[in-house]
Formats: sequence, structure tokens, C-alpha cells
Amino acid sequence: MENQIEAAKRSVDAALDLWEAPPVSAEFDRKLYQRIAEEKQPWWHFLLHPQRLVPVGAAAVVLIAAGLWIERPGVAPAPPPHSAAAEALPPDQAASALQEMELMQEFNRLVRADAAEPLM
Amino acid sequence: MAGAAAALDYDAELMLRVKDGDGASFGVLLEKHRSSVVHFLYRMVQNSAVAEELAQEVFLRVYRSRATYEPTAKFTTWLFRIATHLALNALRDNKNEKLQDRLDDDSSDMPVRQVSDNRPSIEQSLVYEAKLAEVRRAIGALPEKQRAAVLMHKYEEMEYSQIATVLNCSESAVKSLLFRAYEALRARLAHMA
Repeated sequence: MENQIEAAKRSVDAALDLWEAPPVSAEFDRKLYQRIAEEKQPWWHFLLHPQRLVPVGAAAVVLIAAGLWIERPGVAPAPPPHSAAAEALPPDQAASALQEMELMQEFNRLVRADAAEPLM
Repeated sequence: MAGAAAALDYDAELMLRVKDGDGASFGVLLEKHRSSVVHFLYRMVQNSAVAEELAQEVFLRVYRSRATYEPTAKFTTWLFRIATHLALNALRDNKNEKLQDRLDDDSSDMPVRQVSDNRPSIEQSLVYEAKLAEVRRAIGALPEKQRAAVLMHKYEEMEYSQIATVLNCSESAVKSLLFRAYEALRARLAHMA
């Protein structure tokens, strides 16, 4: 198997040798050591650089503002939805309500009848 | 056996010094392996900016792992294991992004090469670039594991056992991968021989 691999490799060696990788950029080491240095920083290092607190402060202000807006006192809470239980009346109140409705209907009938009679 | 091999591995010794707080040894390792890691990653992802970014991550991970480092394998095997892992992840993550577009056609990273004398003719340059593009496409068309195996075998001259450890498979599986990969390349590049 190894001989076969080597034979197959030899057949494409010249073509693969054409492909040279570009040189590594001069900035490579500097960037790497910078990343390493950043990782070595203690958690409180940003206290020594107040300008790094600006984005954190801005985010905190947005959060506080959002909290105050949600909890603002002028806004009345939404009324609870009506439910069948809330509208249910005791039997005696229901009976009197029905009587009142019947009286109103009778009154309406009389009013309509008067209005239908031609004026002399 | 791994321990005996590691005992002869100077890189592993350097890494153990890094573990003991010797930052200069890390510099020596970086100097020694920077190019091979960047070039391997460049040929994997075929984009020099992405390759350098991934290589930075490789060395950063090496540095981060210094405290827990144990020389159970050759240092380069461990190094390329990290590099291969990152390259395969990057290829998968970027399948729908610009990296994949560049894989298909990225001529901006091609090194300028003198074909003959100091001044190749325009025709020679065009022929060279066409051949180079064909090689890149042929390697880019290989399945990711085959690509990694070929790059480690051909350009880094790594042993089968090392490649097997990097790819987390058996030596016979590596041989099979390599044979299929070289055969596929031969089929595509035979006319260039």
C-alpha cells in the first residue's frame, strides 16, 4: 500500500510543487503577543482604563431607561378581561333586573305607539 | 513508546519549559513552526488572511494549554491536531460565507513566482497561473480529511502515524485516505506531469 501511495504521490509531485504558500505577514507575531497580553490581564484591568467603561456604561443606561419606561407610574394597568364569573348576579338581583328590562320594553312600546298615531 | 518518542522531541522539551514559565521557549516554538502552521492552514482554507487568523488561534491555544501540557505525543502532532481541528471547523462554518467563494476563485493570494530567468514572459506567467489555479482547484475539490492528509504528507512530510493521530483514525485509514486523494489528484492533474 505504501508503495502505491508513493507512486501516486510521485505522479503529482511536480504539479503540487508549483503551489507555494505566500509568506507569513510581518504583523503575525505582534498580533499574537498582543492577544496573549490581553489574556493575561486581570479581570479588574479595565478600571485602569476608564475609556473602556464607556460601552458598558452606555449599555447600563439603556437597561435602566428601559426598566423605568416599563415601570412608569402614569400608566394604569390594563383592566382585567371580563369573565362570566365577574358578570354573574345573585338570583334576586337578576330577577329585579329582568323586571326592569320588561318595564323598559313596555315603556318603549307605548312611546312607539304614541308616535305612530297621526297628530290632529 | 509515545513517552520514548517524546523524550527525543526537543519541541516537547521547549513546551515543558513554557509550562514552567519560560516565555522565551514559546518564542522559539513560534519561530520554528509559524510558517508550517500558516502554510498548512493556507492550503486548507486557501485564503491567507483566514489562515493567519486561524494560526494565531492555534498558537494562542498552545499557550493557553501550557499549564496542562503533557508530552504524550510529538509536539508537531499536537500542534497540527489543533490546526486541523480549527481548519475543519472553519471550512464547515464558512460554507455559506465568503470563504467558500474564495475557495473557488481566489487569485489574490498567489505568490509571484519566476518561472525562468528573472523575467518570465507573459505567456509563461499565464501558463503558470493556469496550472496553479488547477492545482488549487484539485486540492480544494478533495474531501476535507483527504485534503488535510495530503497536505500533511506532501508539504509537511509527516509520517503516517502522526497523520493518523492528528486525524484521530488508524494508520491504515490514513493510507487509504492518502491513496484515494493522490489518485484523485493524478486523475485531475495527469496532463501537467
